[in-house]
Amino acid sequence: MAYGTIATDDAILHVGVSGGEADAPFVGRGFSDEACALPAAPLAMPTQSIEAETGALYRLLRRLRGGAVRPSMDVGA
Amino acid sequence: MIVTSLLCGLGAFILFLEFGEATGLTWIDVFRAVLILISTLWLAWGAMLAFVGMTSRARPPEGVEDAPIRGRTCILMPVYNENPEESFSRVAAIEASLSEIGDPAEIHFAILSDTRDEGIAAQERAVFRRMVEECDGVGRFFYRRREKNTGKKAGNIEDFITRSGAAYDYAVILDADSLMEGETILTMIRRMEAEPQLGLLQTLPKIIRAESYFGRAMQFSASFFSPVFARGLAMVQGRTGPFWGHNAIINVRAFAQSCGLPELKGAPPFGGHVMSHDYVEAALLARNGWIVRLDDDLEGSFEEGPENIVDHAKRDRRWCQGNLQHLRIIGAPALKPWSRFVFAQGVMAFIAPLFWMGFIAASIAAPLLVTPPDYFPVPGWPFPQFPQSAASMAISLAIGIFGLLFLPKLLIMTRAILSGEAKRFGGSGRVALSTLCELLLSSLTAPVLMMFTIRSVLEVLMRRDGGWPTNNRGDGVLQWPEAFAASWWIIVTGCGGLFAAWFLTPELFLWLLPVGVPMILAPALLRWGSLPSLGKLMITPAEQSPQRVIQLYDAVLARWGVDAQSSIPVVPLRLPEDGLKA
Repeated sequence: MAYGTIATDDAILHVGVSGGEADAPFVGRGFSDEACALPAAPLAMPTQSIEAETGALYRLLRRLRGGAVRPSMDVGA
Repeated sequence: MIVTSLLCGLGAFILFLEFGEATGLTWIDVFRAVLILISTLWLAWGAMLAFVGMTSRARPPEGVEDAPIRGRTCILMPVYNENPEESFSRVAAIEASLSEIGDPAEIHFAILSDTRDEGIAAQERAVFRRMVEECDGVGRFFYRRREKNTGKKAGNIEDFITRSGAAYDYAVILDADSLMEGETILTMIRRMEAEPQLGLLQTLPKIIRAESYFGRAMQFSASFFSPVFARGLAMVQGRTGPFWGHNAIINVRAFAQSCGLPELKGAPPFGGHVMSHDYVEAALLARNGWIVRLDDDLEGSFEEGPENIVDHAKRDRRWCQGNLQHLRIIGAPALKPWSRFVFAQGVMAFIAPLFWMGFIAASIAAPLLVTPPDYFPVPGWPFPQFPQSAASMAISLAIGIFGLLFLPKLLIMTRAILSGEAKRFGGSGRVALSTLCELLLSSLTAPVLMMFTIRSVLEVLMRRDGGWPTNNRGDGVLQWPEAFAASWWIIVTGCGGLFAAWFLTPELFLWLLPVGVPMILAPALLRWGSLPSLGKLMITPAEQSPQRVIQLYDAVLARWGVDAQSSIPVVPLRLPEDGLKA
C-alpha cells in the first residue's frame, strides 16, 4: 500500500466489525480513495540537538569522570 | 514556591534529626533524615501547586471569542493497534460538534495509523470509509498508514508534518481516546491566531466514561482536584508551560522548526527513540522562543483513563522509562531553566517512592545497624539519664507529612462547598463523602502503586526496555488469578516487611500497618478496583450534564452498533507472562 492512500483492495469491504448493524460489511458509495490521501505539502523538520555535548553541566560531568572537555568557542577565542 | 518547599523539606529534616538525637544521633538517623528531606520536598511542591491554584484564577485572553479564523487546521489522531470503531467514532463526534456550530475554520481530519496488526488495519480502513461516507468527508478526512512506525508517536506526527505540514497553520493533536468539543477547538485556534508567538496551547483533559471503582476515583480526582493543581502549574510555568502529548494545538511551523527529535545515542531504555517526547517538544519550543501555555480555563477537553490498577501501572511503566530517559536531555544546550526543572520534576515523580521505601526499610533495619542508647553515660554516677521524650516530635513530623498529602484535597473540597461549585459534583454532602472516599482509596492503593513504581524504576535502571505496548483501553475486570499474578511479589514484600518489623522494631509495627496491610491485600485491591462501580459517589459534571460532544459520541457509537455502556467487557485481561513486564 502506498503512503497517503487508503487500501484499495476489495477485501477490506468484507471486513466484519463487531456489534449491531456494523456486522454487515459496509460498502462505500461514491467513495474515492485518492481523495483521502494526505495533501502533499512538505515542510522541513530539522533534527534538533537535545543531548548535552556542551554546556556547564556536561563539562562538569566530563570533568568528574576525568574525561577531556572540548574548549568552547569562547574559550578558544 | 521552591523556597517554601525547601523550607518544608528542611523543617522535616531538622525535626527528624532532633527526634533521632533524643536517643543518640547515629548515621542511620542522618540517612533517614536525608530521605525524609527529599520526600517532603516533593510532597510540599505538590501542595504548593494546589495552594497557588486555589488562590489564583485563569484569565482568558480578551477579545478573541468571535474573531474570524484565517488559518487552516488539521486535527490529527495517531492510532496504534487501537479499536478503530471506538477511536474513529470520537473523530466523527468532534466533526459533528464542529458542524453544529458552523465550522468557520473548515477543519480537516487526519487518521495517522501506525497500526502493526493487519487485521486491525483492515478494520481501520473499513471504519474510515464508513466515517467519510457518513460525514460527507471526502476532501476533509484523510487516512494514512505508515509501513514502519519509526519514532513511534513522535515519528508519526513528524511524518505528517514533513509530508503535509505546509498545508496547515495549526494542528490539533489527539490521542486515540481523546474527545474535544468543537467550540473548544475553535477557541484554541482563535487564541493561537491572537498570539503569533504561541507555539503550543495545552488544554486540561478531563477523564470520562470510567465505570470501575478505581477508574471512577481517577475520574473524580481528574475533574475535582486536578484543575486546581493545573491552575497552579499554569501560574508557575507561565510561558514555558507543559505539553502532555494530546488535546493540544500546535503552530505547525513552530513545531517543525523546533521539534525534530533525534534518536538518542545508545540502546533503550536510556538511548533510542525519545519515549516521553511531549515534555521534550515543549522544552524545544520554549528554547526557540515560542510560548508554550496551559490554558486551564478551556472546558470541553476529554480523555479516557485506565480502569484498573494493573493498566494504570502498565502506563506508568512507559512514563517511568520515558521520564528517566530525560536524564540524558536535562543538560541539553540552551534549554530554559524551567524546562530543566520540569525534567527533574518528572524524574522525581518516579524516584520519590524509592526514597519512601528506603526510609521505611532503614527504619526497620535501624536496630541492626546502630547500638542502643547508653542510659548511664557518666561513669560511677548511679542515676540514669533518660532521653527526652521524642514522641511529640515524631507525631509532629507525621502530622506534617500527612498534612501535605491530605490538606490540599480537603481545602479544595471546602472551597467547592463554600463556593457552590459542589453542586456540579452532586452537592455538598456527596462531594464531602466522595473526597473522603477518594482519600481512603488513594491511601489504600498508594503502597501498591508505590511498589509498582519502584519495580518500574529498577527495571529501567537494570536497562530492561519496557517497549510501547498498546494501551488496554476499554480494559476489563481483573479476575482473581490475574490480580494475584500481577501482585504476588507485593504480598511477599509486605509480609517480609511486617515480619521484620515485628522482630526488629516492634514499636514501629503498628505504624507500618497502613503500608503493610494494603500490600498484603494487593490482589483484593486490584480485583475490587476493577469491578464496575455500584456506588453513587464520585459524580462529575460530565456525568451530571454531558457536554454536547459526549452526547454526539454516544450517538455515533449507537449508530455504528457499538454498545456505549460496554467499556468494561467481562473478559480475561491478557497479562504478560511475568505479571507486569509491560
